[in-house]
Amino acid sequence: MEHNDPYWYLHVGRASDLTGRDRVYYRLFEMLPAILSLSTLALFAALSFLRPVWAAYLTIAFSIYWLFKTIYLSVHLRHNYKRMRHNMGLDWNVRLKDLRYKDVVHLIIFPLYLEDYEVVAGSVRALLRAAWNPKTIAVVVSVEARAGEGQRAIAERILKEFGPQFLDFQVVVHPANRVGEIIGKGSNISYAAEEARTRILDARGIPYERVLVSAFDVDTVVYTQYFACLTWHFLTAENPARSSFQPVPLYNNNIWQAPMLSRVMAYSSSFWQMIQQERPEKLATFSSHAVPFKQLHEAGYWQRNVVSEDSRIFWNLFVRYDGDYSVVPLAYPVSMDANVAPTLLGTARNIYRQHRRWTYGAENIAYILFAFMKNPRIPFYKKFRAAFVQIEGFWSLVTHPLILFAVGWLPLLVGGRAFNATVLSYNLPLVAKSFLAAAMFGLILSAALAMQLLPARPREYGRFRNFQLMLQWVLVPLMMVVFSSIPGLDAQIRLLFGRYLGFWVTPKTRQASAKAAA
Amino acid sequence: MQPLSKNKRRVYLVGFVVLFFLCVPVVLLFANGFRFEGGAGFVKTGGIYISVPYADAVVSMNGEEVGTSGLLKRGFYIDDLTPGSYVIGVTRGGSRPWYRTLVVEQTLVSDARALLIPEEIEAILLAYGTSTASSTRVIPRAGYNEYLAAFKLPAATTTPGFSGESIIIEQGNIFVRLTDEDALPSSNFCGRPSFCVSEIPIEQGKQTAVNAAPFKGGIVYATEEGGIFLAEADIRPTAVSVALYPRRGSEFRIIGGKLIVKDGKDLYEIAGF
Repeated sequence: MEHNDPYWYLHVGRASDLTGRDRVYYRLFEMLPAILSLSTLALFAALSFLRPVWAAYLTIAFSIYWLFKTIYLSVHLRHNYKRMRHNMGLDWNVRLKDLRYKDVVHLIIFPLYLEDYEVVAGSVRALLRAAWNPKTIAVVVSVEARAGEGQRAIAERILKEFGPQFLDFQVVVHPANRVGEIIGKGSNISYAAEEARTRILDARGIPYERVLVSAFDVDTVVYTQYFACLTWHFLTAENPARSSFQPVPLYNNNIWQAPMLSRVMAYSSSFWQMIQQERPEKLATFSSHAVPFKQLHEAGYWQRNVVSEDSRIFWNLFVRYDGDYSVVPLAYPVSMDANVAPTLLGTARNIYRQHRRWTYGAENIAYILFAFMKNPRIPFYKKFRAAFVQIEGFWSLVTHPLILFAVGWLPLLVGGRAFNATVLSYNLPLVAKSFLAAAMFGLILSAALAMQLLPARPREYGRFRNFQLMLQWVLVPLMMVVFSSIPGLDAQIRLLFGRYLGFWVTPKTRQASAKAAA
Repeated sequence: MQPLSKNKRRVYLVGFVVLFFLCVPVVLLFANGFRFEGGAGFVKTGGIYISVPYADAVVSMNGEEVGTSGLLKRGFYIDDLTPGSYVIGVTRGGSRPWYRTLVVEQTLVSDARALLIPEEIEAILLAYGTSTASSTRVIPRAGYNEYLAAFKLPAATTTPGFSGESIIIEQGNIFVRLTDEDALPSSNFCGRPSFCVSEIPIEQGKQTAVNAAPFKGGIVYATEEGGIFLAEADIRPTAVSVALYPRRGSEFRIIGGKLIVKDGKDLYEIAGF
């Protein structure tokens, strides 16, 4: 097939978007994550039956690896925590004094589906509370047409109440059932970005290269120095036109109302992002992030046909600029909602679905491999590193917790008498448990950091709640399996069989305002 | 404040990778029972695992106390043992002391389950209707008849024992025999972990055995001449054997987990376990 556009593959969503040999390759790449994960687990299970001694060696080696990996990552986490605290204490406006920051325009996009007025209003109020001139901020609230008139009325109310205080404020209605789109955040904010281009940037004659887009979730509440910090990083970045900017997602808006299950997962997600902030070469954009408008426009905005548009936009840009694109970690937080449903079971179900959606980011592997195959201008070492990091990341996410907390113990059950009579079989649980217990000491660091990141305790919660917040970390091993490995495997198996996942919007059931977070 | 520098991260990474590769062989050797002894270098050790059925039992090895069983702690793993013989003792108030000589071989674990037999074993006469005798247990008539009916059926000469084993009566002798030739024997068949037999004699003397069945971790059997006994199925010295109802001509059945003895026209329940 001949293509005039050298980046014709930039917005491929799945194998069915392609034809011929390309389709076959892409399909194989889609299957790869599940094949790797399932074969690892199957190999481990088979070894447990056939060569239980080898399986026991692997389990022990794995638990040692886990301990060192935990310490290694904890070093990164602790450093990023200190850096984030430092950055939160700075007056970034002072640092901006000698820079031409007044030229920068911030375009904020909030996609709105079924969330209530208070959620959106809380996020918009936070923009106004920020230590930044709102007259350089343009806001777009992009309502899904399929959400109905009620949601549009909420957006119009927000516009009426807050609109005049900003440089510009637009309510965009994203039509339903547009060709080439799947339902989800990507299609909504892409539509909003194009509308913003014509309605705000072109209408006001604002050059695209001066505009930084913050693609937020509707519950994203900025801290006061967010814009100053983001602008400083934009203006001082080594190559600002080839950089996206990633804040640390905290889930503090409703953290005191969230059940234990939800809090652990929320902080675990935040901590993972904090660790990645210290390893920018492994960092892709996630959830709320910022990107220069010009490059976003040139790359055709966020993909409208994928679930993981937040990370995919980074790969779109990476491929579009032939590997010359990176993510600048801000080490400065934004706050969002932890997953809370009216019932504990509902919360558990929502967490599972949310994490399945996040781990469906494995769909990027097929995209990356295919795009790398088609783009000879990206240096090989960049291709290799990026592909390895992504493949290893999704493989370890699924397999490591299952090996450590489930499959790794199989030799004891199925190894047979010959194995069970060995000193090794008696020492396996003792040795592995010792290393895992030592690794769990990392949780104490996590608990301590989580306590430091908490917003002030609301009056209705006693000191016992603080105790619960410490105690919650004992749930981590269980949560790693149930809400990380299993949804990850679920997502990969869906890709394996071509049962593609649709976008699932995490319900925001918060009632109170987001004041507490900031 | 700067992010972690690449150099610093590299140092951490290399440091941990080196530590990992240093640790793995040491830990694997340790897990396999290798211990370093001054002068002898690395020696291969073995271990012993004793499981105890009750709480408050004191476990000792070569006369030295190892520990006491509790509500949750019923197993004792003793490692770092140089190859050789060790006498394990388990004592508990109200039970007969249990001893076993276990041979430890390098990188292997000898295991045994202590059979704690009560010191006081009582045969309680069973009756139905009403009775004032303190040594008699009154049970419903239907239950009594059920017991009687069980004795009308002939005793089996081969009874399934534990996994892959059968209790076999041959020419008046009793054996516990491995019936699945492919199955690896459990440790009671092994004089030492690396040497196992396929048959354990339970009663091989002059008496004529007529019935045998598994009961409370041992084998209960009856002989024409001596009455009813309980013995351990273990090839290692010294397997326990006690008389439960030493009356000639008595028979037994295990009904609903209870050991019921018939002596003439009377029925007894063996109590104390």
